[in-house]
Amino acid sequence: MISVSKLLCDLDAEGDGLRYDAAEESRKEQIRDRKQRRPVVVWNVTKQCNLYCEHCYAAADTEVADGELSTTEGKALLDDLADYGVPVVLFSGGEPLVRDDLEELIAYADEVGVRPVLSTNGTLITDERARSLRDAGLKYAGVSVDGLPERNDAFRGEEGAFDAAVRGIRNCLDAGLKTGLRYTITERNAPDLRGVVDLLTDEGLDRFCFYHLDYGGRGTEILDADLTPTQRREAVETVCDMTRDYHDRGEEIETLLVGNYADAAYIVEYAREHYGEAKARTVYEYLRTNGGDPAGERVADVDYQGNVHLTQFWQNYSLGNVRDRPFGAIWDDDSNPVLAALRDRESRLTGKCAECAYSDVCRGGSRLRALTVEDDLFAPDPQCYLTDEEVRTRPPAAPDTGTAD
Amino acid sequence: MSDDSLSVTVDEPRDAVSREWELFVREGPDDALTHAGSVSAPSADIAREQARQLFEWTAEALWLCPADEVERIQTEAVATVASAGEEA
Repeated sequence: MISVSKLLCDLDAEGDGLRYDAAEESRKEQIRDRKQRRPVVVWNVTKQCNLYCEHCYAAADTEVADGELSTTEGKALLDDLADYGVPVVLFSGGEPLVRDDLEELIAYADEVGVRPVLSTNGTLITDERARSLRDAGLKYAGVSVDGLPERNDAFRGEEGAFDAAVRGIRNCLDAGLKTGLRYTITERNAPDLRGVVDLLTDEGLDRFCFYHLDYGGRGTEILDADLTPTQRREAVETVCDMTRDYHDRGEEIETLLVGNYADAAYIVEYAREHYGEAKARTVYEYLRTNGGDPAGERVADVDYQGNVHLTQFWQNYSLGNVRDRPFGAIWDDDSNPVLAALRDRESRLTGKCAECAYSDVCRGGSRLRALTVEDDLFAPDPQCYLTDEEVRTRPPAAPDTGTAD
Repeated sequence: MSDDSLSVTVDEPRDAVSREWELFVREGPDDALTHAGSVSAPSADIAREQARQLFEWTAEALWLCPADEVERIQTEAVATVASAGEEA
């Protein structure tokens, strides 16, 4: 997750402590202790969903699936995550609000010290449900909208889904819940990006997360709708330009890019072009701390049956199951060659990644996309849009202090 | 028999995406065949292909077994979630 607003506009936001070790310079609530070294865990609490979205990485269905972790098992998992020092649990699905014990699980996560946040399509958030989520201790709700009404509804397979999601956002904001947008950028909805932000900013929303398409679940069935490298570059530039425009007008929206760490290199170059070398150096150092693609390291996924995955998008490979073994034991088991290799990936990357000047802020991008498209765990991410010149450029250097050590 | 005996059977399904296949890898001739997670695939052929994609850079041998054919038995101390029991 790359915070464009933090890097380009110095916006102070919750979460920067985790992303950039920037807790000490922040006035917002931050996670400051050993938890920074543990993964954020996405927990798909159910496979069931009231919508049927084209790009769903979890391949969610409208029916309940067998083997969901029960309420008691879920609490045991949350105990397990707390014991391991997991800082944040992202309740996801399917659509998590179809579970009537969601608030009970959120409250329990909060009680045991794992920050509960939510990923939802928003359509089931009534004013009453928004208040109950808030009262349970939910810290953040990310609501998925993937375009202006016509395009969003087509994408999500239901007419009226856009309006229902906006009602959900309003209900969250009215309840005083920190709320944001989740937007997966594809060729089809890229033209709507700025319009959606303008519309939802008017609703009072101030946090916008833009996801690149990852190639998991039903996402693998719409690869033809993914952006070309040129379109991707334009979309990321739009996010950067838009963020600056809003901040120049005094509207401090938070904008984030998720799922493609070529963006890290791009933003350093963007900062160099628009702000100069010193700013580019600061951005670069933040991104070095951030550490590039987080699969198998700073993000983990537990699906509704308890299978542990390298990321939420990588559902067709599991490291183990929390019904068999505690999460921490699975996650720490470097005897798994794939897990160990992901944690030492820089020495294994091939092609342009092996010689890229920005490999330390990107770390090869998505290994899942490389595997899906190139049939090679260590090939370059097919979504990398950096030019040959950028790959060979010199990242901003630290200032010469004149001291030798 | 002690309280630590292998008394807990874990028989919940693991087929979150499609049929699950337990995966075993040997990296060298002197190495043990070790469990290395599982892949989801609707057929043995596809499971084999997915396992090959993931491990061919390191594996000397790959074994696959349908997860629903595997008996999972463990001590209560290990089965943290399974032993949580059901709510009243």
